[in-house]
Amino acid sequence: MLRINLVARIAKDKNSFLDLVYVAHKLKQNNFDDFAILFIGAVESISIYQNIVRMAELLGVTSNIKFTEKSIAMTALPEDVKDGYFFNFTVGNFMGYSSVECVNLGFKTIFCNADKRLVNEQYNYINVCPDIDSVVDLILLISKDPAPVNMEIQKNNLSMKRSFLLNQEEAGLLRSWIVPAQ
Amino acid sequence: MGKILIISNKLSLGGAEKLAVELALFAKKNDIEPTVLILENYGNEHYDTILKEQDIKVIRTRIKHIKHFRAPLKMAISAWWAIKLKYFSGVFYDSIHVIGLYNIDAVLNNVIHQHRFFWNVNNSIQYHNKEYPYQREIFANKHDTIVNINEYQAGELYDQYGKEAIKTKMVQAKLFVNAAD
Repeated sequence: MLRINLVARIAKDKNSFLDLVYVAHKLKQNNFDDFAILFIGAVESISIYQNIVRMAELLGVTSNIKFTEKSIAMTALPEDVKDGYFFNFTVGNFMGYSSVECVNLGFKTIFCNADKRLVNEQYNYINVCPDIDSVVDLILLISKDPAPVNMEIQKNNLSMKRSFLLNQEEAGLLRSWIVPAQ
Repeated sequence: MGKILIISNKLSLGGAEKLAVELALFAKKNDIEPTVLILENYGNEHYDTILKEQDIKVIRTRIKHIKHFRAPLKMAISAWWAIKLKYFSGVFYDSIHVIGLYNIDAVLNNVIHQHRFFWNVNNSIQYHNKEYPYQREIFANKHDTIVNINEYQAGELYDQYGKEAIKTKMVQAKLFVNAAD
């Protein structure tokens, strides 16, 4: 079973959850059904949660979608979940802390740009997708032969990981904001 | 030793909360004493434990609409913080860092300091009609600094509010993690 995880509070400021329901629908349309999508996060907006459930029913993918309904630290996730693919939205080439943490923990991470205005702004990596249709293509590719994609993802993780550390100049700048010259 | 105050509304699992924690850890590593102030939320959340383990002080109180009439100690603490931050924050802290523009409303006229940094942790795509929901007043003080965390946010703010309306300084930082010791 191919596991796809999304770590995010189900909240109004994160409005792209339905994209993953669409992914589930497209995977089924492509005759791939051996997958599970897990939303990992507290439900802060009942209406958004209900929209996801309704959309899943409508598209016939309810059995492929599960919720933890509470936030769980990534390090505390069960091993079978950790072994899945972690889906993260980006804004152009910007990755939030959920992405940073996935990469730092060495999880297999798939990125998808959420802002159509920034479709050509991303890293040129196999696991960094410009739009949701490319995510579907990537998952179908993984379903056929995961090993080469997994290797590529691990390699990309390593190079991304370094970019989250502050270099001397960046650390100096941050210090100057924290203790500004009088 | 320098001192900073980091203000937010929660310490549960989340990106903005993680930024508050990394900023506090960065300060500590650089011999600057951080205090984390959580407003209007008295829970015990995920990152409380982590900050406690690092000996970083977390204060939970309110500085606006103080109304703990049945809890006089809480009310006294709130009153103390309200006065301290409105009139003496410059004496106690070198800078004030507010995590999330959505927290500025509680701070704007209640935490007076010449070095206030407002960390913008969202992009317009996260909001209805791709518009930030903030009042333009938060950009009115030229001594304040908006810290964007990606290259798109400054353009989004200027497009929405107009260059004339944004008098605050605008800088960009990157999301970071502190290297393990």
